[in-house]
Amino acid sequence: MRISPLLIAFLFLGAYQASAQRPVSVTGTYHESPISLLVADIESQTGFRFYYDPLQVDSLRVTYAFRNENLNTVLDKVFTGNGFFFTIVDKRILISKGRRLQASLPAKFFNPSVTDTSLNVIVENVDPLSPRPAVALLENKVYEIGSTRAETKSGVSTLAGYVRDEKTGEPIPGVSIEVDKIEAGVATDQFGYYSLSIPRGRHILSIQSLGKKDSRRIVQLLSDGKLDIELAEQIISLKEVIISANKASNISNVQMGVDRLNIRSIRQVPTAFGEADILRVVLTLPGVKTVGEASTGFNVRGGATDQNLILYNDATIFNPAHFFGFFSAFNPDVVKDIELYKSSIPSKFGGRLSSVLEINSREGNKREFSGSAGIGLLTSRISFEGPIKKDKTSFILGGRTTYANWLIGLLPDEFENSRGSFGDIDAHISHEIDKKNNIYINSYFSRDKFNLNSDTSYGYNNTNVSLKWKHIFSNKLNSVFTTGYDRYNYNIQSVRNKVNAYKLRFDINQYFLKGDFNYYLNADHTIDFGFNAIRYKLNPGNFQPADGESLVATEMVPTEHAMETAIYVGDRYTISSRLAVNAGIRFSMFHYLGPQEIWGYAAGLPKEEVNRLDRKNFGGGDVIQSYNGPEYRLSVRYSIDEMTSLKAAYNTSRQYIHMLSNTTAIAPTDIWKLSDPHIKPQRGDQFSLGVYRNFKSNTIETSLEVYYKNIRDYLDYKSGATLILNQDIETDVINTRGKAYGVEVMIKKQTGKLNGWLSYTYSRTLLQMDDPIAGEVINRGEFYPGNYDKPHDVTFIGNYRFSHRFSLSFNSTYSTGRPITLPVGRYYYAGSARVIYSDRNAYRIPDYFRTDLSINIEGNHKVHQKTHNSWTIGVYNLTGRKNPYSVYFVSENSVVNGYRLSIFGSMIPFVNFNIRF
Amino acid sequence: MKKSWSILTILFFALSCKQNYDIPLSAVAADLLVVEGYLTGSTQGTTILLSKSVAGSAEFTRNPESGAIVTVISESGTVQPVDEIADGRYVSNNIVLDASENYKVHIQTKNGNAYESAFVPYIQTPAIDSISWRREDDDIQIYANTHDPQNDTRYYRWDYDETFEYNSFFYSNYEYVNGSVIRRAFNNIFTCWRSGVSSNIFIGSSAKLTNDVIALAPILRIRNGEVKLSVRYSIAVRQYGLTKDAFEYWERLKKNTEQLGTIFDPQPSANKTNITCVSNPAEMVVGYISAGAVNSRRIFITNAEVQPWNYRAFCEEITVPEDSVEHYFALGIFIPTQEWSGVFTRLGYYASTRSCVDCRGLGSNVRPSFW
Repeated sequence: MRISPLLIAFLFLGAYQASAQRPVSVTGTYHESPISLLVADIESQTGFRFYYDPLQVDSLRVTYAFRNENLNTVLDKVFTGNGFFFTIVDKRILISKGRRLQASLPAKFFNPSVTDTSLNVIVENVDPLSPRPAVALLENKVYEIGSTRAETKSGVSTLAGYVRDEKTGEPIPGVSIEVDKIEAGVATDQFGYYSLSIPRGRHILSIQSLGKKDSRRIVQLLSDGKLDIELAEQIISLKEVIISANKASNISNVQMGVDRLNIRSIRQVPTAFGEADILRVVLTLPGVKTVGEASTGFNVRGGATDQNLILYNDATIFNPAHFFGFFSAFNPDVVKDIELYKSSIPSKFGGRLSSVLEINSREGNKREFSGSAGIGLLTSRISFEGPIKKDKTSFILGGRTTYANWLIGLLPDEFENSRGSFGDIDAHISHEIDKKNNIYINSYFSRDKFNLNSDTSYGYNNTNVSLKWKHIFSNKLNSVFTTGYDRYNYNIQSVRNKVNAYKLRFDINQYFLKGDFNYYLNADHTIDFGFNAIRYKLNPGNFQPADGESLVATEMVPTEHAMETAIYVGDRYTISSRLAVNAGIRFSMFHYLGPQEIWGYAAGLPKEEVNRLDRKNFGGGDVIQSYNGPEYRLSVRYSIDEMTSLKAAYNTSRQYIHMLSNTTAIAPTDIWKLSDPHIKPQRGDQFSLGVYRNFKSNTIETSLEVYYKNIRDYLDYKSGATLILNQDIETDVINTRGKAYGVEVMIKKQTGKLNGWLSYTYSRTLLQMDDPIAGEVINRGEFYPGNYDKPHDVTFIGNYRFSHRFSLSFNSTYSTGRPITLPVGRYYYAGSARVIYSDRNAYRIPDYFRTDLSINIEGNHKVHQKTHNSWTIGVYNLTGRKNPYSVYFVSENSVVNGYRLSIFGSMIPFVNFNIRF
Repeated sequence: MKKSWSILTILFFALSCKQNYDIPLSAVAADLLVVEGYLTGSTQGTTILLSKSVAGSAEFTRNPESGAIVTVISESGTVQPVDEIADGRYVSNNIVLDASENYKVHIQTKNGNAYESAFVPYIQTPAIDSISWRREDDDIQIYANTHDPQNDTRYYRWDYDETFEYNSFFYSNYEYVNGSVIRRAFNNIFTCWRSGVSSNIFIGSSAKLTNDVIALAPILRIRNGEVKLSVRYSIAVRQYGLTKDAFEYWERLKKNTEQLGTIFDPQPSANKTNITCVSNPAEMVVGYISAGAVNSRRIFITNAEVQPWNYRAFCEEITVPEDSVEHYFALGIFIPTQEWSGVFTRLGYYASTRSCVDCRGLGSNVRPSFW
C-alpha cells in the first residue's frame, strides 16, 4: 500500500487542528491504575471519547496526579515512551500500540472518480437526532452511526433505514445487505426498509440488488441509529435475466420454493402479443402450470386455480386476467416485481392453500416527472409518475386499453356485431409524513366487456382500494397497517329477445384490515407477528329481468356473510452461520354469519335434495358456523458451504373461500363460495426438501426440490352439477381428498451474454373420492388425476445479448397433455339413449409444445436524452404447432363428433414499441 | 346460455383452429354388453334387455344382442331360463322367485362370452298407495305415493306406460274409394290411442325419513296444451324397490346422461355396474341387475278435469269442387270431411290434410283393453 507522505502530513495536521481548537482540562489522581479509570474520568470530564483495544492496553498502568491540566498534556504524559500513541480526531481519542494511527483515508483515495474534494471531512458523524437520517452516498466514507454521548460498550446495536434509488428516490425492496462478508445479512422489505442488529464497532456492509450496482458502506456503529442508502442503477448490462434478488441468495435464504422476478426479467420473455405479461412469465417457473393458453389461472404444485392468493399491493385479485386469459390484468409499466411463494409461505399470509403471488407496484419517481408508453397490436398503455412534493410525496398513474375490435372484424360475418374491450387503471400515491411514518394509497380498477354476436354480453370488473400506513416504532420494531376494500363482480346480460331479456350478476366484496409487525430482537432473531381480518360479503347470483317487457322471474341466491380473522407469530432464527430456521404459527378463524337460511340433511346420507330435513333461519350477525385451526410454517436451511445448502420446509394452511368452476380454467362466470355448515374449509399440508448448489462463483445456480402435499376437503363437483344460480350448492359438490407430489429441477445462468434458465418438473396431482356418504364415489374410489395433472414439463428461457442494443430471447416449453374424460360409447337404457363415459380424467389431450422468439432492439443509450425507446419484434408459437387447448364433443345428426380446439394454432408475429420519457 | 358459450368459445379463440378429434382407439367402448333388467316373479314378468354399445362417433341405432342364453340362478342353485322373444328382449312370465333368496343373472352371448351379475336380494316392493296429480303452474304434475309398513324398502324407482286418447281435428263423413267420394259407413279414424313408455329416470328415497314413506314423488309432467290431455289420458306407473347400491347406480345414470360434454359442461364420469364378464374380467359391462316385486297402478285423467287446457291444433279446410276430387284425393294427401253444398246442389267437398282428419298417423284406432 503506497501512501503519499503529503497526504499523511495533511491528515495529521487535520487531526491536531481539531484537538487544538478546544483546550480542555482534566483532573484526577491515579496510582498504578488501569487505563480504563483514566479513560472514564477523561470521557466524563471532557466529552471526548476513547477508542482502543482493551487487550492491548491491559498491561498499561497509570500513576499521575493532574489538576486542571490540558488534555493534550495529560495524554502526552500518559502515552509517551511506553510504545503507545494517541491520535485525536474531532472529539475522539484513538489509542494505538507501536505506531500512530491514521484515522481514515479520504474517499477519493480508493475511488478517484468520486468528485468529493472535501478531504478533511473523512468521518461523518451521523447524528441520530437530526431531522433526517443521513444519506450514505460514498462507499469509502466511514459513517459513524449513533450517539457519541452514549456509553460505549461492547454489545449489539440496531442499524436501520431505507434503501432508495439514487435517481428516482424510489425505495428498493429485496436488497441484500450483508455485514462483514456473510456474518449476518438481511434483505430490505417491500418498502425498501431494513434493520440489522450487529455488534457495535466498525463493519463493512455489502449491498447487492438486482439491476443496481453492487455497493458497500463502512459504518462505525456506536449505538442504535439510522442509515439510508442510495443505489445507482446499473446501466451497463440491460439484458441480464435475473430471477433472484442477489447472487447466492438462493443458497442462503431460509425459505424454500420462493421465486422473485423483477419487471426487467419479465419483459424479456416473449408473449403472444408482445406486451410483457406477468402471469405468463410466472407460468414458466418450475412447479407452475396452466390448463391451457387462454387461461390466466395457474396451478402451483398441484393446487387448484383458486388456491393461489394473488395480492396486488396487498389487495386480493380474484380474476387476474383480461380478455378471458389473453392478457394478465397487471400493467407491466406499473409493476415493480413479483414474488411467488410455492412452499414456504410466510406466516403473515393465509387463506389459500397452494401459493401466494405478491405483485408490487412501483412507487412514483420522487425527484422528477417521467412516463412511459407502449403501443402494440392489440393494446396500448401509458403511465406517468412524479413527485407531488419532492422527496416526500409521489404518484404513479397507469392505464391500459385495447382495440381488439379490428381483430373481431377479421372474423367470419357471423361475428360482425361482436365487440370486446378491456382496460385497467392504476393509481398509487406514496407519502412520507416523517421519517417514522409513511402512507401509501393504492387503487386498481379493471374492466372487461364483451358483446358477442350472440345475444349475450359479458362483463367483469376488479376494484381494489387500500390504504397502508408504515410506522417505525424504533429501529427494532416497525409495523405496517393496511386496510382496504376488494371487489370482483361479473354480469351477463341478454337483451335481444325482449321477452326473456335478463341480467345475471355476481359479486364478491371484502373489507380487510391487517397489521404486520417486525421486531428485530437481535442478530439471531427476527420476530414477525400480526393479525388479519377479512369481512366477506358475497352475492352469489342475482337473476333479473333486463327489460320492462321481460317476463323473466327474478331469482336471487341469498347474500353470504362471513368473517375471517387470523393472528400469527413467526421467528427467523439464525442458529449458526450454517443453520437457520424460520418458524411460524398462524391461527385462523372463520365465522359464517347470518342472515341466511340453511338446509339440514339427514345424518349419514349424502347431501342431496332427497335427504333434506328442515330449513333453519338465522338472523343478521348470527354465527351459523365457525371453523378455526392452527397453521404451521416451518423451514430450515443448512449451509454445507458457501455454494451449497440443504433446505427443508413443512407448511400447513387452510382455505375458507372456494371457487366453483366446471371448467378447468378460470372463466368469468366461475362463482366463489364461502365455507358454510355444509362446505368445510380446505386444508393442506406440504413437506418439501431441496438441495441448492451454485457453480462458477454463483453465476450458475442449480436447485432440486421435491415435495409431497396433502389436500383435504378439496371441493369437486358431482356429475351433472349446475353451479350458477344454484340455491343449494352443497347438493352438487363433494369434498375430496387430494395428494400431489413432484420434483423440480432448475439450472439458471444469470450473467454473461447468454443467460436464462432450464427447468424440468415432474409432478402429479391425484384426487380421491371414496366416501359414499359424502356423495358419489368417483372412479370406484380410486385416486384419479386432477384436471391440471400434467406430469412432465420442460421449460427453457434463454436470452442472448449480441450488443447493448440488440438481444434475442427464446423460450420453449413442453408439457404432457392434461387429462380429460371421454364419452367412449353410447347405448340404450331405460327407454333412452345414454352415453358411456370413461373413468374421470382417464385420458389425456395431446402433449403441448411451443417455441417463441423475440428480438429486442434498444434505442441509443445516451443517458441524457428526452426519450428512450425500444422495439420488440417476435413470433409466438414459432413452429405453428396446433396445440390442443381442449377436446370437446358435440352431437351432430345423431353422431357424436369430437373436436380439438387450438387457441394459437399458427405462428403469431407481433411488434411492440415502447417509449420512456 | 350454453349456446352462447360455444359461440364465445369460437370467438375468443379467434386465432384458434378446430380440428377433428378422434377418440383414441384404446378408449372406444363399442361392443360392450349392455344389460337392463329387473328380476321379478310378479305378474309383470321378468324382462331382460341385452344390447351392445356403439362407438361414440358412430351413427346411433339400438344395437340388440340376440342369441344369448340367459338364466336366473338363485343362491341355492336353482336355475330358471329366460328366453328371447325378439331383438334382444329376453322374457319369462312364469319365473318363480322367493323373497328370502338372492339371485343373479347368467348370460352366455352367442360369441361364447359368459357374464354374470352379482347376487342381488329380492326386494319386497310395497304396493303403490296412489298415483296422484295436481296442477302446478299451468301444467299437470303426476306423482307416485307409497309406503312400506316394514320400513324396509327405502329406495324406489318408477317407470310408466302411458296411453292417451285423442281426436282428429276434423270429423270425416266421407271417404274416397276407387275414384269416387262415398259416405263413410263408420268413422274409425277420428278417435285413436297412442301409447308410450318412459324415457326418463324417476327415482326416490325415504332414507332420510324415520318411516319409509314416499309422498308426492314427481313422475311425469304434462305441459299445458299437450295433446296427451286433449281428451283422456292414462298412466300406468310401475314401482320397483331397489337396494341402496342400485339406487346410486340409477342416480348417477340420471345425472350422467342428461347431456353430452362440451368444454363448458360439467364433467361426467363412469358409472359402476354389478355385472362382470366371467370369461374376461377386464371387459367392461354396462348395466345393473336388480330383483324384487313390481307393483303397478293405473289412473285416468280426462280433459274436463284439467280445464282450462289450451290444446291447439292448426288445421285448415279447403274446398274441393266435384270435378277435382280425383286430383285432390287420389294421392291420399287430402281426405274429404263434409259435403260442400250450394243452395240447391252439391258443389263438392270440404277436405283437409290427412294428419288433420286421420288420427292413425300418430297412434292406433284400436281401443286398448283397459280403456
